[in-house]
Amino acid sequence: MNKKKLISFGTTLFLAAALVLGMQIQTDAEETQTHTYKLEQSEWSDSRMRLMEHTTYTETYYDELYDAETDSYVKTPYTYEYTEDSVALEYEKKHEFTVGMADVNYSNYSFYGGGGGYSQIDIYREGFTVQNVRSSNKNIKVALTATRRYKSSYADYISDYYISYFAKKAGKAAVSFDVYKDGKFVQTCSISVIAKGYKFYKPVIKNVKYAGKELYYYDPFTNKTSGKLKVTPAKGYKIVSIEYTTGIDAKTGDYTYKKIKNNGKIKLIKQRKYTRKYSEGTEYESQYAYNSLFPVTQIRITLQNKKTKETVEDYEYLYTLNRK
Amino acid sequence: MKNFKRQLIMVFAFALFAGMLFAPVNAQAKTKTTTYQYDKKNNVCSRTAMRVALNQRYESTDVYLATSGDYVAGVKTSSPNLIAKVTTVNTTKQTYSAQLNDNISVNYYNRSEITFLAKAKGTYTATVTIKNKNGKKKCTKKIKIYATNDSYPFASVTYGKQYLGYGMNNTTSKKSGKLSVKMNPTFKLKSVDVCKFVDNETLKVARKKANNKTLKLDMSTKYQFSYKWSESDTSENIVDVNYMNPVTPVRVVVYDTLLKTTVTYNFYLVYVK
Repeated sequence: MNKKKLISFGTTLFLAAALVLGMQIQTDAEETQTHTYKLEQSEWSDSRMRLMEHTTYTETYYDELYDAETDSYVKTPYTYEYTEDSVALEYEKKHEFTVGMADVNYSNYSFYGGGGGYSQIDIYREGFTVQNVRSSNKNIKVALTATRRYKSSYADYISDYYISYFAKKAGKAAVSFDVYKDGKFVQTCSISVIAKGYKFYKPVIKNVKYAGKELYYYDPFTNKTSGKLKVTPAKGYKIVSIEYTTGIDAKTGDYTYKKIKNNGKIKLIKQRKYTRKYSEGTEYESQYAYNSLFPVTQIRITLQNKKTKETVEDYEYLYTLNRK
Repeated sequence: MKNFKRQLIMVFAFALFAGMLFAPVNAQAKTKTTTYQYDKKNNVCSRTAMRVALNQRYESTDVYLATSGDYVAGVKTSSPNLIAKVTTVNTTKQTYSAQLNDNISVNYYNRSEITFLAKAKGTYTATVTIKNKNGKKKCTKKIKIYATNDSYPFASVTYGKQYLGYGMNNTTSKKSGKLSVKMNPTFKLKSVDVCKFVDNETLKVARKKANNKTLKLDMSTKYQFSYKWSESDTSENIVDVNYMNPVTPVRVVVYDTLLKTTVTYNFYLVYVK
């Protein structure tokens, strides 16, 4: 082969390669991603909020288009867009807890962290982190007390954050936290928190007397099968009605009641047995047969708070001792 | 001869001493935590002993029968001062399962609850008769009943002037105080140790013999633990815990001299500023 042919062959080869390479570069798509975030109510639960990440993928292709005017090929971009919505994180909108409560983490799935209540923030995608947890009310303290990190061969991120609450006084607070994606601030989220005061039991009954004897919780025994029942309400309450049980449904254990006037005469029930069946006729059939140690007569007293007009029910029990 | 005798004594003394040193360590007797026993022959699971407190209204126990058709025909007591009766009978076509302690679990067809009421202090025996589905007597089970003034092991557990309850969170603003555990008769105190969390459910001893000494609360409760969902799982979960109000757990181990069981009680002290 002579020199000239070799050169021309080499040049052709080079040009062909350049063309192919050039085309490769030209037909390579460029991809960009843009994200927007939206905080909205969860699709599956009314009580949860979710942070949606809306990703728009834009792919740009370049194609050679013949332009008759300039009699040349012009590089023209074509864009192709597609979007994807995914849940980045979720959390419960509200939380209620009791003032003064300071709980221990009792199991590997509870995270009170010494507080009276806690909220869990579920992270579903890598790259999202939570910072700057704060409370709008200085009486309701908040702290990040635990994180759960998920680690696998293809992922490593914090999948759960636990925020604990503690309050010495009742009140409300907006607990906020900031969400970051890949180190950039994205959204502030808020949980509405209520600290409720501990409700102490206030006695509504001063005392109950049956057949002349005062009735106590630890001594509900009597051997008088009938007698007068006298109820003295606590200060601030008045009696609306007094009922006592006259029988038990043998299949359900439900009581039947009869009304009496205060200081009226009642007769204690003799019945103590009843049987409840579950899933009757199926392979999972089970039964509970009850036969209490003593017949138990229940007294149901309905009272009204004179000030608030609120009604409340109080239950007392009488156990009939066997005569024998 | 004298030398030989002396040597012999030395050898014996040494052998005795060495023998004591190398004697097999008495394998820690498996401590009983409940009095439940599983009679595999008759397929019955019941308590061998229990306490019935006089100042409560009554006390109950369950007898589990793992053979279909078996039932509790009756309960007799050794004294009219102890009333006993079968008060609930739960029967099922397919078995239910119960975990009675770390070592005993039973799949039963019949769970019969026996309720006791003690009228006077004393030690009694309740005899439970079990019959099979044909009405034939299968076996009897004896339960020893100790009727005492109360069945709670502690007369008092205090931190400074504060009374502590077990299994609950006792909040305090005092950074230190004298820890004092006083026992009720028939209960023996085995140990009082201050602990630290290994994970949310497990404690490890940090300071031993803490009874009647000043207890200084831990001002930080921080730990990490990890777990996998299954052995073959290649992914893992790592949990980092940092309490907002630090907790000092105190573990108290009690030996019940009547039931011969060992029970652990955890007291939690939560420091709140």
